[in-house]
Formats: sequence, C-alpha cells, structure tokens
Amino acid sequence: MNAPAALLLGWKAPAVRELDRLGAAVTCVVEPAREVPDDTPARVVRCHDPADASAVVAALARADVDLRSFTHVLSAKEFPLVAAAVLAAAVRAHGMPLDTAVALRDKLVQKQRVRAAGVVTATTVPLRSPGDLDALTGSVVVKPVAGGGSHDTFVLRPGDAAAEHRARDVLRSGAPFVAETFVDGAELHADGVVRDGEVRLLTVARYLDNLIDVNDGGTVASVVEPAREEPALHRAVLDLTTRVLHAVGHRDGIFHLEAFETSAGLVFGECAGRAGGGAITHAFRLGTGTDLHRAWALAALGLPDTSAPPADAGTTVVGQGRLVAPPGATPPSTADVLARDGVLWAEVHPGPLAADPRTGSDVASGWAVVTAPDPAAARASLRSLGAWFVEAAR
Amino acid sequence: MTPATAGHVLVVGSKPGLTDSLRKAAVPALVVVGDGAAADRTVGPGVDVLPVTDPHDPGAVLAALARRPGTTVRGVAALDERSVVPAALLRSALGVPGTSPQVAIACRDKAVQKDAVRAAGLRVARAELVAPHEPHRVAAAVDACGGTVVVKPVDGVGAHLTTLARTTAQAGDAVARVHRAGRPALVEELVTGAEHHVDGWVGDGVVRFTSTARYRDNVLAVRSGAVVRSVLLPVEHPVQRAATTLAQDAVTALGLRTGVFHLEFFVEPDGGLVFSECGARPGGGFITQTVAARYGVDLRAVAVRLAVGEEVAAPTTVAEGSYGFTFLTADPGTVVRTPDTAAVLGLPGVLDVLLPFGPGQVVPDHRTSSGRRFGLALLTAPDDAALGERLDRTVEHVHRGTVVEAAP
Repeated sequence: MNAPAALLLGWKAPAVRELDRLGAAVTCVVEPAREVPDDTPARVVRCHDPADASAVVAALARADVDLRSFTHVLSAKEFPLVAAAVLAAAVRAHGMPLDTAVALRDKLVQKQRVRAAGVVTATTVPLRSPGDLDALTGSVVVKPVAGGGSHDTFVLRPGDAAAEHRARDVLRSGAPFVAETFVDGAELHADGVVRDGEVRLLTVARYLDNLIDVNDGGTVASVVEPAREEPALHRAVLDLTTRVLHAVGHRDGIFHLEAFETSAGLVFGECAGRAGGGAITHAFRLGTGTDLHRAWALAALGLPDTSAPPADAGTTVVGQGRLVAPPGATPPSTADVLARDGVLWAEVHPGPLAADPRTGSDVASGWAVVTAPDPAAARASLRSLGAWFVEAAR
Repeated sequence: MTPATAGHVLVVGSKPGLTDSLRKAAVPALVVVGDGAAADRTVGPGVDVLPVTDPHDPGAVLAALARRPGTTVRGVAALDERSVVPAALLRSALGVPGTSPQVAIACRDKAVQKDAVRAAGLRVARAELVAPHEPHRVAAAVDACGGTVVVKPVDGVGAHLTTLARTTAQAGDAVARVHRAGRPALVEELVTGAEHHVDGWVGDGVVRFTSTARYRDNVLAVRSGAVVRSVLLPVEHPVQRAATTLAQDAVTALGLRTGVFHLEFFVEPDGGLVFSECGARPGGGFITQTVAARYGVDLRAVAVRLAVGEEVAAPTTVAEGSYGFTFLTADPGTVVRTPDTAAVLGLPGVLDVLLPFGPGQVVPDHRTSSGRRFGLALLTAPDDAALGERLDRTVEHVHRGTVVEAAP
C-alpha cells in the first residue's frame, strides 16, 4: 500500500509530527504569516484562510498541488474542521464525515442533534439581529455560532444593561450568534478517544471556575477526577459522552466535551472533535500515558490503536491551568515555573500579554500541569501557582 | 448524463432580478442568501431561500442544509464570481454533477487561469504572482511584465483593488494594498486594446451561444472616473465571430464543459484578440438583461437549467436595433433624494432600470471598483449612435435627479 498523503488544514505541530511518524506525507496549509520550523517534515502551502475551502483549493492550485492527490484531508484545529470535511468529500478522500464536522462545529446543529437524542442540554435560539434580544426571557449565555476559546461569550441576565449593550453591539456586527439558557451548575470537561463509536479512553476534569467567568477574571484551570474516587461521576459522563458522540456521528477520533453538574444531573454544554485547549493534552498524557495527538493521527489515518493504557493510567492526580502575568509585566520563565513544587510540565511565552485575558480563556502567558495527592490539593496547588506567577512577574 | 428529476437546484450568488430568472428557468430552486444583519434583500417573495451566515462558505451552506432535513439538492448553480468555487465544492460534497473544484479554480483564480490559457496557445497578458510572504519579488515581476503593469488580487472581483502601475514603486504600493487585504497579488502586463466581453454558455464542451459586447472605456478606466458602459456588437460583426472562437478555445483550455461563461478580452489595433479573463458564471451589471433584450434568453435561467442537466437550445431570433447598458452614477455621500424609477423608465429607449439606493443610504465612490455603482440602466435605440446619446442622457438624468449629502 502507498504511504498516505495527508492534507492538513491549519498548523498544529504535534499533529504534523504524529502523521509523519505514522508514515504519512503531510502537506500543511497555513496562514501567510505563520512561522513554521525549517525542519518540519511537512510541505507547506500558504493560504490567506486555511478554514476557507475555496481559498485552500486556490492556494493548492497556485502551488501546483493537485487536491486529488491526497488520500486524507484533515484538520486538528477547530476552525478548519468543516473546510477539511468539505474538501475530503469533494475529492472522495478519507476525512471526517461532513455531517459530523458540521455538527461538531455548528453549535445550533450540535444542540439540535443532541437534544433529539434525548440528552439534556440548554435551549438554544439563533440571534440574527439586536431585535431578537427582545424575545429572550431569563438569563442566557450569548455566544458565536462557531466560536472558540470563550471569545465574545458572556452571560446576559435580565436588567443587566451593560451585558445587553454588549449583546446589541456584537449582533450589529452581523456575525451569527446564539443565546443559550444559562445553566446553573459547575462546569467539567471530558476528554478522550473514540474508536468505532466506542469511547476507549476517558478522563473527567472539573474546572476550578466555570469558563464563562473568564470575563470577570475567573481562574482557567481544571483538575482530573480519578475514576476510582468518583465512579458515579465517571459512569454518568461516559454515558453522556457516548450518547453525544453517537448523536453527532463522531465515531473515530478524539473529543473534548463540556458539561455542567447540576442538582438534576449532568447537562450537556458542547463537544469538539479535537484536543482540548490550554494544557489539557499535556495533563491527559501525564495522567493516562496516552498522547491525544497520537490517538488523533491514528484515527485520522484509519490505523488501529493497539496501544494499551499503562496499568497505572488515571491514578496520578493531575490538573492544568492558565498562567497570566499582569498587564505589561514580563512573566517568569518556563524554568522558573518548572522549579515550583508539583509542577510536571509548563510552557511560558516570554514578553507581555498581547490581549486582555478576560476576553478569552485561551489568552495566556503560559500553561502548567501540576500533580498532587488528591484533587483538592491539586486545585489548591493551581490557585497558588497562579498567584505566585502574578507576583513573580516583573 | 441522466438528470435527476426531483429536488432543488441550489442557487449561490443572489442578484437583483433573480426572481424573474428563476421563474423563466422553471426549476425548483433554493437560493442561498445572507443571514442576520447581512440578510439579502434581492430575492422576491415566493422564492425558497436558505439563510446562511456566509453564502460563499460551503461549510456554512452545508450546515444550513443540515438544519433543514428533507431537502434534496440535484444541482448547484453559481451566479456570481465569488460563488464559482464554493458551488463546485458543494457539487462535489453533495455528489451532484457539474463543474469540478479543479475546473472552478481554473475559472476563478487569475494566475491559474492565465497559465492554463497560455499553455493552450492563446494570446494572454504576461503575469506574475507575488504572494504575501514574498513581497521582494515585485521588481522582478514588473520587469517580467514589461514595465507598465496592472496589479490586482489573484481572486479579485469587479476591478476592486486593481491598479495601473507605471513604476516599480507604484507596483510595490499596489501589491502591498492587495497583501493587506490578505490576498496574493497578480502583476500583469498592461494590454492597451479595446476591452470587450463575450457571454454565453457551453454544453458538453461545445460553445452553444455567444453574445459579444464592447465596453465604452476599458474597465480599469473606472479608477479615473469613467462610467462602465457596454454595447452589444452586431451579430455579423467580425469580432463577434472571433470572440466565439476565442471562447471555445478558452473554455476548452480551462476544462469548462457545461455552464454559462463571461469572458473578457481585448481587441488590439491589429485586430488580434488577447484573452483577459473568463468566469464560469453569468456576467454582472445588466449583462443578463441586455442579452435577454436582444436574444430573448436569460443567462441566469440558463445557468440554473444547465445545473440540473437540462439541454438548452440556442435562441433563433434576434431583436432589431442596438442594445447596451450603463452604470448610473451619483456623487459619493448619503442619499437625500433619488429620481423616480418610473420617470427614468419613461426616458427614450430605457427598457429596465435598477436604483437600489434609498434615502439615508450611503453611495460609495464608484471609482473603487467596477462592481459598485449607484444604479443600472438597459437601453435600446435604432443604431449605436442613437444608443450612445440615449445612454448619456439617462446617466445625466439620474445624476442630476439624485441629491446626496457629502460626507463631512
């Protein structure tokens, strides 16, 4: 059999690395200004928008690359997911089924499918113009139909004039938004691997603060709850995850799912067909011994995943969190963070933050993974690490 | 090909007058229109629409179709330039026949297109691509193209960001403007012949119908204040025959086997034809209306019918007289008052008029792109000389009758 020829939309170094290790010839479509290491094994094609299928086809043609030469069209990133599926379908290459990509990317379609499968989730209504706000009742979460990183996502409560003003502003831009009924519960995320429609590996992590609180300076961090400590929670999340993945048709790959624990049980939030952001993949690897990028590449290429999780998989308590330096301050180095007690992994970008960290959960000076004897200690460790990071920044 | 008989044709690229074209096509159609604040107002009542966040994003269209269970799509028609590639991707993704993404790119991307046409032996301007990550190539590109060049986005529409550059420095500025818009730039040799367009359709690889027209001024002159105007050539005109040959050679080179096309070319002083560009869709402005006035055939309706595999016969009758259309102009600013459409229609020879701007709306400067204008008018007259006078009078009537408040 010839080596797979993979077209990867959007730059993701671990995805390129794992596809290459599995023997695929990788062509990666990246933005014009994207810095790509000189020694990348991928052929690089520059395109003004790797998430725009038409632009990708044109960029390939200009680079004299025949779209039909690819056996796989893939994306390991959120935004180009549908474009990859469109192109895969267009040339009959392997890739995520179009239906699945749409359901994973479009929050309205996703909620429609999940609700139809009997999963409890927030009611979602489209917002097309500022006038649609007048029909809303109760507290809602306003978010883009196809957003990411909690950007432009906020709670709109009755009588909150500032939030209403913000909602009218974002809707006047013409971008499509939705309003979801506000779920009063603690947010968690489930990450793992699904093959042949069966969840093969699952971790459940509780956020320290709900992600929506990022607007008000909430902590962006989570701690994996070992299955042995919370068997009922794990069973409930496994059941929810299985039903959601089935509803959206995501049978082979990795997933990152968010849900809320409420007094009435779990309420589904949303689900992505990629690795979670922040340091979630690192926490997953350190907690389970499994590299989600490897799992993604195996599934993407249709190769069997024969690796067995180590015997102690899931027994190490890990947590991951965002590190944020004060405005204008220079953060401590990666080595400084790694020298702190309990830190297993860290990565800090030198220099001040380019944006206000309250605008999105992915705006960070860096990320870290910690370990501790139990989840409560891990939570305390993450909060203490975040506070130290602020103080140590100059 | 055996056409499917049930289901909709998905129409991408909504246009004023589309409702009438769809009625003529007599094929069940689902028109992709903008959603939210960008909602499209050009489709009349009674037309089935698919509201989409971005009508030119195939992923968004497929998501919207997913939210509308029970819809069967049996063809996809592209009615404007930006829809050509998305429509091809939709065809492939939905498994319906028609122009493929590879052919669509050859019809859409000016660099790929010129390479293909040049390789087939047609006369075409020299052109060099300058990608955003290689701005240092401008000087070499200008040299390769003969010094005086035209700079444009490689996927530009309607002369937007298209600039005549007489020096390397001017070309560098123009290329930087294109790059700032996120696009690769094409640096092209300036062709000085008279600009024409030939419109028609191809079925099973054979050009079935053509209608040729000459622009009064080359479209690039819009940037210097010229008003886009086009007049059909007489059926027996030698350029009409040469244009049909050029169109056949070009669509063959591009691989376009079935569909409507709009091809622009230059006629040089020696009478030779130089290929400029070819779109796999009906021409813009009032080209569809002008062709319909003389030949009784609606090119948008033809595009819709071809999209579902119907055979379309070429028209056999030709109306007498001269036909042409013009852009209508107003000074840039906020509209206070517009002329009465009925009064414009009452002017000599006016067959159709479009005045989409109402009081309070802002008129852009038409010099920034050939696709932006205050309005359109289609006229007829017994001969070209009379038609020219009538076109002038109509433009002047609308310009004088429009009151705008200039921006401070």
